[in-house]
Amino acid sequence: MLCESCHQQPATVHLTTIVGGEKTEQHLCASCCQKHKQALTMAGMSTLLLNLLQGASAQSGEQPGPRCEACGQTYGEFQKSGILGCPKCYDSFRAHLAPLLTRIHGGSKHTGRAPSRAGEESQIRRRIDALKREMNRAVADEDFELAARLRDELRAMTPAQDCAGSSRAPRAGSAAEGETDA
Amino acid sequence: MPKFDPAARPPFNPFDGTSPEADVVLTSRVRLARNHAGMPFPGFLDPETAQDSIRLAAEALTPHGLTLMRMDSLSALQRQTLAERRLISRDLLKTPERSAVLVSGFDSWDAPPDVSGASGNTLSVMVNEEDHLRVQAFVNEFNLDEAARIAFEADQWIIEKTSVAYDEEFGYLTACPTNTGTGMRASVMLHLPALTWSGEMGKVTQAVSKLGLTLRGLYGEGTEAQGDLYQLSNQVTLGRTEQEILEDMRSAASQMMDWERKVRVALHAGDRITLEDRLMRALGVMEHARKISAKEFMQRWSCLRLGACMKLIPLKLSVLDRLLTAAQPASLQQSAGETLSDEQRDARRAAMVQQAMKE
Repeated sequence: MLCESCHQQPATVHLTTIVGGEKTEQHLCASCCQKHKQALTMAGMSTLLLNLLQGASAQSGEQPGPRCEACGQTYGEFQKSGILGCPKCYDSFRAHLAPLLTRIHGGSKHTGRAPSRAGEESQIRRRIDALKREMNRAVADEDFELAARLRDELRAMTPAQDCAGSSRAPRAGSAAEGETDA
Repeated sequence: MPKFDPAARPPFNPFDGTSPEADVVLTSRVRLARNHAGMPFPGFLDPETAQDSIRLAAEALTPHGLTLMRMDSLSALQRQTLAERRLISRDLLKTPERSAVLVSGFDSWDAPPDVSGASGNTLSVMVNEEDHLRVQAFVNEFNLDEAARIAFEADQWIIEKTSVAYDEEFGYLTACPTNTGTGMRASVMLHLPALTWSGEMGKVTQAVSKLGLTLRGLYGEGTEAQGDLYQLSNQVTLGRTEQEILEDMRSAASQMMDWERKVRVALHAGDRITLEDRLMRALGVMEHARKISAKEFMQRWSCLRLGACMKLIPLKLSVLDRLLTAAQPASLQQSAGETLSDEQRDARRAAMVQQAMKE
């Protein structure tokens, strides 16, 4: 019998796994068995995750599922090992991972800290100030095309302030209309 | 022989140099899982990229005083010693050719740091374990906030120098989805002899799991609770902020402390002679035996620690906690300066225990 995984070496290890009363047998060569074991222990994972994954994989059969463009791992491979291939896998398998993360953690939206470099915020502020100065100069020079481009760039950089600004604008407008009516 | 009598305390103080929670808590730890963006997770790294991952970690952390140790440059004994000091996990030892650790507060190989405070707190960053970076900060008391402060300081050093894998929806991205989100695992090491001996641990484990927390043995997942030592840690890492997780941990650990203390009092009130007999027998063995195996050491050590907390056995907790690391197999051989057979180790352990008890 050949190893199920590499199909090259003779299978010398016969693994029997029983999950939820269902028995599965695997026939592997020594080297593939080592890899399999390493994948399992590397995960150091809660049995919970493996149970969830195996339950899902039993339902979907042996489908390889979507493939991560960055590292080439398939969702089916992840279901077997519980370990993702690279950070981009989260993008590639987003639709599959969101419900799984909810099952594990009770939620799938991060609410904690985000990485930010100390200098980053002040850099953004400096860039905004520079753009504002350029825009004012463009207006003074009556280069309205450039001013509009700079305004759009500013808006893209400051979404929060931009919203606040646009919500004020209609109020100013309606006040003006009110005056006209009177 | 000193007798346990709360009204007439013997003149020694077992808590000398320790915090008020030291009767139950040995250490607090905060661990952060971080990965480099645009690089496969460690399980899928080719040897060259694995070295890149080590280089990036070293560039971010060595300027802050951490020392880089590549696993393949250490002897088997040295690696084991780091694991016994909990500076690295046993998983890191499985792939020495591509993994490393950066540590601060590391004095020397043969003088184990004083677990209960003297040498201060410890920071270690494992490279290419399950994730590219695993920051671990240890504090030798019940103080998760301080452990978190140290861990997040190191986190900032990493963020300043490297691009960390992060997603607006999922937070910090980790190789295993059980760590995704904050990537933070906070843990408190608890000594729970009374709960263990009275058969209450089943109930404790159940209560803990309802809170999204878990109890593990001394060296983490899948290890035995030797010496009646348990690690309480959070399971949930996504959907809750770091502060919320730390608060949950603090309150659960406080409840377990109260629970353990109540059972200690109950055991003493219920059958004082049987309890004291158990503790004093341990003292007899530790004081006089010529050979003590690692397993026996852990059992007797637990008795001595409880006996000291009850002021029945005149030993300082700081001495006992230092022994806990020093008497482990690799640390023992490291301080002996040679590889020892099992029998030699047991003899040396007994001698070391007796030496420490004279302090």
